[in-house]
Amino acid sequence: MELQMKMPDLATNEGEEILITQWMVEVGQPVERGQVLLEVETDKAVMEVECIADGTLKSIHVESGESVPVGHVIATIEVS
Amino acid sequence: MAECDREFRLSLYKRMMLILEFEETVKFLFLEGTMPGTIHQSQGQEATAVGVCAALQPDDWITSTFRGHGHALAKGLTPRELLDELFGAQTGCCKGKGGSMHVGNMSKGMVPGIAIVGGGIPLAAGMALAFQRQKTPQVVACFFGDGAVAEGAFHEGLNMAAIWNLPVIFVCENNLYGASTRVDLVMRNTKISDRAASYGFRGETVDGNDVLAVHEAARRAVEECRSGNGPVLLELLTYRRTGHSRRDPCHYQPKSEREEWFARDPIQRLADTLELDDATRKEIRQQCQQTINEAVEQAKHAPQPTAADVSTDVFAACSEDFSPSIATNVATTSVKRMGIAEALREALAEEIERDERVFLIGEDIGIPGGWGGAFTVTLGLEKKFPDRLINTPIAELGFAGIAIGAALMGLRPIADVQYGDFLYLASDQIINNAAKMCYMSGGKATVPLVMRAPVGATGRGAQHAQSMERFFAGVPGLKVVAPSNSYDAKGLLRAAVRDSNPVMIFEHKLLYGSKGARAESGAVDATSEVPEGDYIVPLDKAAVRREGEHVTILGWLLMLHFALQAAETLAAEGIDAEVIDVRSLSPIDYETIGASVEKTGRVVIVEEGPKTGGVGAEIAAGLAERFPGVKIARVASPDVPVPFTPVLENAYRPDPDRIAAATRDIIGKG
Ligand SMILES: Cc1ncc(C[n+]2csc(CCOP(=O)(O)OP(=O)(O)O)c2C)c(N)n1
Repeated sequence: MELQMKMPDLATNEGEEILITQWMVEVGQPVERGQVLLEVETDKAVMEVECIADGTLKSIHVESGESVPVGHVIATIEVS
Repeated sequence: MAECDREFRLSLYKRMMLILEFEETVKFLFLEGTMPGTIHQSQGQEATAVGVCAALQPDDWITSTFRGHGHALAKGLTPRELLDELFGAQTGCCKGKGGSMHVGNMSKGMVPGIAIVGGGIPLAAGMALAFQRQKTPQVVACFFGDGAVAEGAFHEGLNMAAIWNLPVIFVCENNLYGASTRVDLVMRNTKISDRAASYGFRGETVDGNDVLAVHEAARRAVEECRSGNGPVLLELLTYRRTGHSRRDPCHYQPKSEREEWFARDPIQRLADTLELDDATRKEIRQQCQQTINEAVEQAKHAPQPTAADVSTDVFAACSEDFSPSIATNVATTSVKRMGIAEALREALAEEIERDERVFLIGEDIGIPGGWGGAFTVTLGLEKKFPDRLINTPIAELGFAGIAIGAALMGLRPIADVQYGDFLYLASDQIINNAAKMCYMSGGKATVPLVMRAPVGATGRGAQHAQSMERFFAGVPGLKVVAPSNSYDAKGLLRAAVRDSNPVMIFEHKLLYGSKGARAESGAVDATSEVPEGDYIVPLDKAAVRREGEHVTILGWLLMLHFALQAAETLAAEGIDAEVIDVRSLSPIDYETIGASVEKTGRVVIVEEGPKTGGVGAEIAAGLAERFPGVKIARVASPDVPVPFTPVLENAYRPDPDRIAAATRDIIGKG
């Protein structure tokens, strides 16, 4: 099963886009729920985003340095 | 380890895992934006909820906080009813009206979560008081955080629980932080269990990440409470692994501290103790995940309430003993003339005799040789009903909360404050708990509370004088009445006791007719004929006190009497005023008042208390909307605190002359 992981709602201001500063896992690597998958920067702080399921990071849809709104699909996880 | 023991421990493990899986799933649903609202989660604190609740019986109770998902699952609420609630569905445990911070289920021993820090503590003591009075073996476990220890509610609740040996276990989940503030910044002695000694009962600090230690401590505490040796304070040391609420990245928790506590994760530790192999751990986790995932799928499609549901569940249906067949206008064959204080006293005595659930609670209400409350209303009742009057410490928030907790458990408390002004202290309990409990629970919890309060300017300066009704008349979930004569005082009080909802009764000090040392100078005669036998005065009806054609004057309490005096003066001048006793301030009886203003076309609204933001302002707006052609004037106090000196107090309080002048003005004969 594939799971589309969306940009979580971390911004303190409604409608703010969230900047992806760094992916911590490479495509093809195994991931666990709760593991830090990427780092983002909001209007307030730098934060870590955790993976939402156990499996493999199948693909990344937004490169670091890009900003996306909350709810935008950022990665696909192949669930184990 | 005996087999049953292992099985029990395994059940604790599964329950903790269920909580963790629930919280993790919910976390991502929120972050994805799938779920509305906000969340406060308990990852890392699973052992406190599970260890304590495992020591309780199904008919024992818990109170919880804004961080209540774990407590709810531990007390036996299902993931389904919780998820439905979090999704705002009609099938949720509070019909979508409570949400994450107020989960609870009255048929599973959990009142809706109290999201006011510390607010659940007096409430839990009151629930325990109900069990003690009803002589049932039940206990209450009251969960709260370290942050609550600094609240007055903590002190007042623990003190009263102590003096009455109530069967309540105060469970402090000390997770080292209140929001982002570390405990040592807000208390000098950070050993919270030490507090118990200062109230004279036992406190204990326990490793809150060791579910077996928590269970053992809770089991002992429950046993003590059941055998009459409560209360007990348990301080459970634990750690919140997740943000205080959503979007909180926990930057205030040092990394080393986090890692240290993660190494003491309660689920991991029990798995190690039980020597569970990886496969078993994984299997249990997957079972929990499956349960949660199924519940999520169902919750996503559960029926949402419709907009029409917004105004249901504000009030509970009235109880069986509130029979409308009770005469509301008994024949005046056998009557007695009496003052309001005496009429109230009679009503209290008769309700105590009629219903064993009724008890009185307040300061100085039943001390032999005392005053019978500040205005003699309860004088002598302690001789007749020694076990039905509870004298409290001077702790208005605390005893209001205790009365509300007892009401939630089915008793019918009649509480009173010595002066209405002290209701500010009690207002968190009255407004946030009593008034909202029915709604937040989706109509499941009822609070049949009566709260009496004397009001009015009487030579005591600014803090024993305010007209407090304005602050409660606009609170949804409360009924508010104000009697101006003895007949009404008795009938309204009876009706209030029999109503299943919280009722505030405001009484005027100058109308009591208190005698002896408690007599008031400047008192106004409010005696009336009071018939013998059972009668009630409905809580939602105004009364026409004088019929007239030219103008309507509205008043209540003392102002009703002044309006009647003004009407006599005006009558001599050929102005025929209709005078209405508003009496019911919430809801306002627009039917009776409306019929009058439609007839006269003019209304003067009289109120003791500042003009701005008063009940009169509300009535004026309500009438303007309903009867746009009617001319409206207000007579009220200036927007100042109540002054002491008689010259100024007289300038503050509207009098018959001012009422008459305003009435002439509106008629155009000024
Ligand atoms: C009376 C009150 N003041 C402030 C808040 C805002 N608030 C909500 S939770 C919280 C921290 C509570 O800390 P604690 O009691 O230790 O509980 P924990 O969050 O650790 O579970 C605060 C300040 C509130 N809900 N109620």
